[in-house]
Amino acid sequence: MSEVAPHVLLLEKLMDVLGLVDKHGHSLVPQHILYTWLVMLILICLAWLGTRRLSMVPRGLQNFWEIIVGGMEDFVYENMGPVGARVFPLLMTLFIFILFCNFIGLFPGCNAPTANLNTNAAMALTVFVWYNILGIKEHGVKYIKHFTGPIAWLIPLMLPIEILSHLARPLSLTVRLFGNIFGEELVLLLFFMLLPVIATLPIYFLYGLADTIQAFIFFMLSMIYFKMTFEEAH
Amino acid sequence: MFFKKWDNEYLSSLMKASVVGIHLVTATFVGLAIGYFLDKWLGTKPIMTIIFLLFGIAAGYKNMYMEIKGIHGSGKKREETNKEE
Repeated sequence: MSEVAPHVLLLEKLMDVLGLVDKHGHSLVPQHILYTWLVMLILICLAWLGTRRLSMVPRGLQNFWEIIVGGMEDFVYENMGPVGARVFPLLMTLFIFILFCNFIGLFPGCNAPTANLNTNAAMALTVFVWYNILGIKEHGVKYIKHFTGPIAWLIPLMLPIEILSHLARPLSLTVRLFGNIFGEELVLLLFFMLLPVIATLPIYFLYGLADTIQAFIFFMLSMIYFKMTFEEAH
Repeated sequence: MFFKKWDNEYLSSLMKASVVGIHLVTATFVGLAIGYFLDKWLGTKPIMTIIFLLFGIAAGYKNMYMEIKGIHGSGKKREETNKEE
């Protein structure tokens, strides 16, 4: 990102100050990893603070977590049925992590880790590998029926098509999230260069909404893939 | 909870509609990439690329068809529930 439009990244500066740079002056750890660590730190702290003193009548942070986790749990159970319990922890983690990653990009001096292909590809491949493992565990050899389609003599045609459409899933998950967040960051930067502070303010509302929707789309698509894995082949 | 009201209405359809385009494109690209690298590996220059590109396009349209079916299905269900009320 910094090649396209130069701006100050606080954590990279911090690495510079700490002396953790190579001889070209680049930080030893790439900046998207640094910001991923920051997001992890924030989430761990929030989770610890929220569950430190659990009470029947939730207060403060516990309230916040109960609304988010409870709401998403209802949503998953409504769509997937009882098998949703087996994948809900992964889905919820992905949602919260992507949400915070997207939002941290809106703060000045920070960059969204999801504006990098590697972060997104890691998450999308996790979902891809995990739903295939679950499918094989659930259906055994019959899992191949998910790829063959309903009609026997069409199998030579349907098999490559189905395999290709399965392989396209992690790619589409990765590219959509990357494109949206990277574009957002770039537009924010360019607007900031045109007219500092004032021009970026109205866009923050739009991007706050777009960030939430992107996190939710990733969550919902992963949920749909898991749901299709658990279903019997049609 | 906070999604229930929206979800049953338009949010779910909106999400599904917003992924239709990218599904079509990514499937085509995956097909093209597989064909290209198979050609490089096997040395059968244009054949595999063309075959897998066609498979990729077919897979893209199949994905699109499934998405549209999903949107249509949820729309029909909504209409039925509205009638019952």
